[in-house]
Amino acid sequence: MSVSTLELPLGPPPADPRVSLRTSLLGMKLALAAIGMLFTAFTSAYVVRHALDPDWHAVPMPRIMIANTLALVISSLSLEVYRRHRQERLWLTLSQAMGVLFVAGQVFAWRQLQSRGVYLSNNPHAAFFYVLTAAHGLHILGGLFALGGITVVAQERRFRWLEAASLYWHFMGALWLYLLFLLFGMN
Amino acid sequence: MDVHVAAHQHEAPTGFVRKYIFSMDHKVIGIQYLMLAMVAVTVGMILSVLMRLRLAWPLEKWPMLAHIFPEGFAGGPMTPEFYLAMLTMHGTIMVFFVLTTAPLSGFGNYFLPIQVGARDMAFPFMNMMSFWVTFVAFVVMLMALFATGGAPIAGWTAYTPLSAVGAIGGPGMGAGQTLWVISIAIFCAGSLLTALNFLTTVLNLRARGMSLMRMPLTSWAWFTTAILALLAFPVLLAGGVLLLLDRVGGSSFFIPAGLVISDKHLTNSGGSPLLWQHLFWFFGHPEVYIAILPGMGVTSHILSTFSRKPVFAYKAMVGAIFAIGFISYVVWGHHMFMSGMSPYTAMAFSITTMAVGVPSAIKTFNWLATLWKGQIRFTCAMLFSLGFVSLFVSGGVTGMLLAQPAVDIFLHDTYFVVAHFHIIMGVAAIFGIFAGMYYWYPKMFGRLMHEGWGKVHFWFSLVGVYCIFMPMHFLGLAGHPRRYAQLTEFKYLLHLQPLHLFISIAAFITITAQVIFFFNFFWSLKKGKPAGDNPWESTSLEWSIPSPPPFDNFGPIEPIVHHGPYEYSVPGAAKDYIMQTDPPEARP
Repeated sequence: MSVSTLELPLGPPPADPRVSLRTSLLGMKLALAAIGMLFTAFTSAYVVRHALDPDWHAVPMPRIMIANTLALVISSLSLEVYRRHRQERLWLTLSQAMGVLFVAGQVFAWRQLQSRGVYLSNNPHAAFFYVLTAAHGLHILGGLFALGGITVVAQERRFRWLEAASLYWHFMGALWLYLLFLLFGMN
Repeated sequence: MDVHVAAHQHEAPTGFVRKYIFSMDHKVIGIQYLMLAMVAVTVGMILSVLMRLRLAWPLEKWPMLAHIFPEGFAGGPMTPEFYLAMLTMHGTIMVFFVLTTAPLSGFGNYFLPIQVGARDMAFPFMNMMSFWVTFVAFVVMLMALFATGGAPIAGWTAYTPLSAVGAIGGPGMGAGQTLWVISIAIFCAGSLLTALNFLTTVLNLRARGMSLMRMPLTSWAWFTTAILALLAFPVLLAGGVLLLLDRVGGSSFFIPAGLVISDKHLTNSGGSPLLWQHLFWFFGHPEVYIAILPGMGVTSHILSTFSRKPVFAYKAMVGAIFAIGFISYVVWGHHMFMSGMSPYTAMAFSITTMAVGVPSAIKTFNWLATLWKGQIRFTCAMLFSLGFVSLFVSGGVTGMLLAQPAVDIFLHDTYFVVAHFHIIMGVAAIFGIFAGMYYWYPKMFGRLMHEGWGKVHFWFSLVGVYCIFMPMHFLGLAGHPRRYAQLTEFKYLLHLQPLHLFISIAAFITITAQVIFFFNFFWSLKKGKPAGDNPWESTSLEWSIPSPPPFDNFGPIEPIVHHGPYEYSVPGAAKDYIMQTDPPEARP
């Protein structure tokens, strides 16, 4: 492994067949660091904007988002089960279905808010709600693409694809819980 | 299985498109980035010529230019709005498409994998995407230049609320500014892909024996720069998304209540213009180091090579790069001393800013110590690296002055600041690029650039940039504000007009001298002296392979590294340099 050369002037030859798995996972972790920074920046904007505005009116959370959250949690858990027992395809299908359900639920939540007359322009809290959920939603769509790819990619890439996609998907789940707390837990 | 084979199963492409256009080869991508930067720098220079014309001859009408830009001249001298548009686009194009693309994505893409002994970047497809995404960003930026209503006028920092209110904010603030924001957002995405690749490649794809502390300082600089890019660009992206929504979605993230523009009362409320400044500068300050750190790496590398001496205090150099990178995240407030910031906060930012001086001084003194008693070879690359050191000191010293909030209150938004950042960030980084170009050109194209013309280019450039930017310090100290097209109505500035004339003439001569470089670049492609593998008798891995390198860099040989990056003039050794891949017994 090349990292071991940090200590030894001349380490053993790179023999680990899963060394490209390590590369994939490292790339994914770095990508998640960048995504984390994106949402950190949104958070700081949220906090500053909230503190400055005397007319800040928090929008109540659309009820359906409880179901959405549940769907995303189930999706994450079932993906983890699949990652550990890869013979049972059903778990992957469940994970994918729950992911799609989450997106559908989010679209519904948006429409619900719009029908109540809550738009980007007339309420700063709603503006952040739309921005944060849209940014998260786009990342979820990317995640669904990755989950779909697990069974499609060539056999030799499948393992590391699954590992990297799982990492990403769990991160998106955790990010979602954080966003819920930010948007509705602090009011 | 071998690490490189595992990560790179693609074969050498044969078709023209796959080989030169949509190539996944890091070397081709590096050259693509350099070409993009060359086009961008030409556009940026033309814009600066237009500005300098206006400043040197404030009332001249330039019928020929009026013919080309009928709206920009509107029957008289260049309009102030057109001047601001030129200023905005000059800054944006130079900072993003030249100072970020050439030193980091250009040379970094080409030489980082080779220097650490990898056959390609960790994610070649993503690498290809990063270039083409950046290319699209550049095209969109050029569209902003020609947008209906003109190019944006809000400066490269796009301060809100001006940049957020839309067309009502003035000419160019409609479609032009919207395209500007979109371009920057796309650029962020491209830069993130590059950063991701650089970090993964360094951490996971190094050759056998290439421990971190055997990496050349160039690779260390690219690595640190990639960390900065990875963590800074998402913040700009977030700011850009919010700004775009303020512009097209009717939100009020940055637009305060009660704003009246052009006699129209805006309905927005509660937004904070300062929020944009915080988001922008949290990115913006690391961005300054994204531009300059690769230049520092190149300079360390070249000073050592052409002094025939090891870099003085290699470990301290690595530490200093990291320290500068780290501190760059906690200094952004020094751009905002005049924004109504609490004096206590200003003091904190002032202290962190001055702290940058410590690692910077470490680097400078180590450069001087590297030169000390060396057998210096004054090649073009060496001259430009020495020029880099000179400019880095000249521009850095004024940074320490501007870091004092009390001094900054007077100097803020004057030409003193323009002088400071052009020398330290603009010209020093450009000198780093030139040094790298003269140094690596033989490796990239197999032929040497013409040294004689290179030296003419160097002296015109060095004397030229000092003639341009030194007088600007005096303009600033005399209280001359920046960004104005014309201040001839102000008596206290009238006596400074000859200085403007001098600066403009110096600028025209210096810019004309760059033709020598472009000529040398293209002439040497065909007519330059054949370079051989290692014309500079250098030690790092790229000089152990043919020029230009083959598709997978190392051919059938797996590089094994036995030596540190700067083993020059080792006592008792057969030659005055030991290459990193030389067998262990090369060092007696």
